Amino acid sequence: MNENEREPVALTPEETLRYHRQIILPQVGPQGQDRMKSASILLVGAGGLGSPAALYLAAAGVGRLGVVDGDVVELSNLQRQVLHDTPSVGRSKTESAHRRIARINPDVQVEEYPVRLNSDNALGILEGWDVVVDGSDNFPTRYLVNDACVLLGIPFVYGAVFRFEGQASVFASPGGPCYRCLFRDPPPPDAVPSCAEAGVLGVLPGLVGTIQATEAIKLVLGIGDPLVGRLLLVDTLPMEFREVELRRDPGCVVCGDFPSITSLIDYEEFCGGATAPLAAPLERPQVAEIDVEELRARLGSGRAPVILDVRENHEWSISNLGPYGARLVPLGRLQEVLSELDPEEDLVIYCRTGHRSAIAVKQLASVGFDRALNLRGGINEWARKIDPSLPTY
Amino acid sequence: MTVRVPAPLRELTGGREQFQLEARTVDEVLEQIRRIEPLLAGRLFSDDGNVRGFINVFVDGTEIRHLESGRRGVRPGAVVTIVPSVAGG
Repeated sequence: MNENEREPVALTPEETLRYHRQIILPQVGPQGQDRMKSASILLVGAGGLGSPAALYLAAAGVGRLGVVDGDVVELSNLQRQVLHDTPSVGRSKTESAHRRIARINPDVQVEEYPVRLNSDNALGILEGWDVVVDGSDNFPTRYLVNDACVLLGIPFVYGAVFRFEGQASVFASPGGPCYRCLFRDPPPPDAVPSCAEAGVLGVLPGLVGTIQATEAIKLVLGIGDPLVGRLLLVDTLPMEFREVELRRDPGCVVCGDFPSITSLIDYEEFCGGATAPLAAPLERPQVAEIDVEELRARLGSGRAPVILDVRENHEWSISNLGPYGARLVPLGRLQEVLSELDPEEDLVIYCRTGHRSAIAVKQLASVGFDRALNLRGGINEWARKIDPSLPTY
Repeated sequence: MTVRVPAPLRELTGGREQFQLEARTVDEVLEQIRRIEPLLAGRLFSDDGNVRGFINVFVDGTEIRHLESGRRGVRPGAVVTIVPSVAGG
């Protein structure tokens, strides 16, 4: 009889049966399962990464799971966010997550935080959890989670995905590096396309999210070698897993020897204020713009502009301004149709969010189309403010 | 040696996923990247020549800022890994 079996634990007979396959693992045992039952893990984001993490952590018997997400379930989420299902579209993600987790394992206590994490609420929400799993989808939240976890002394499991590639690590563990030790500065706004713009293989966050769940369980149980000081790089096309070494930066502004950040800052400003010039075409060009309200007003007047949609064919089928005479010209084909356009006419160019259309306006301006305007916020902004019957994606 | 270009930066290499270069030191690795892929180099390095804070360059798994000197030698078959920050979740 090993040491684990001698100590009394608080598992019920049903729990012993439910978790039998992992209780018989010598590294877990009844003690480990009991530790799991008394553990608390907070998931920041119930999206592509948070979904598989939540499912496995619930199934594994983590006693308390917190879910932070201010979004509602959208149809375009379901290709990868396996925590949610078709009937949940339109419902808050935390509510959808709660229902699903309760069906998988009713013994798990779920705490919903249907809000976007920000500098005002982060410390209050994060405080007291054993481990945080970062499955957020934007840079301000990633730096916020990092700083809050460092300040509170909570290790967090990092994961991020892009197209076919992913990253995972454990940050803010005692003595280990933090996210800022790896990425000191955020990229300039729009320098890195989001998954909504660049795409993501649906199963990829499944891979990375389950790696995050594995690391979270290892941290709770104190077993194995967690990804502290190591960054795991996953590339699914060649199907390669590589790792690089990470070190804590003694000069790090938040976890270094003499930190200058000792309370949370304004992360939107921090990530939006980066102005390092880039010799790369990903940055959104500064061009003349029109907002959706003004476009609507002009469509109803005698000064209706010619509207060009520079997205791809499949995006047109999701939503379009065809009823207002918009014409689809994917950005890559813009040069081919220049002879059909009149530089004296008012032109409004749109795409999904305004990035590609800004590039189009810049291209048009360089060949004499001085009256071309970029629709600020793209068709998604139009759908939000003018025509809610159109889907956003 | 092989330089691996991650997906978010492939727009800068005309879609190339990796390229080869010959270098004996870390400094030469960076010099060759500038010569072979100037657009990529524009994204990697700031005006003062340092790697930008939202990207990391690793040679054989070690981040080059942690190598004691740019004159440090690199082995002929070394793998150069570029790790950009991505936020997708």
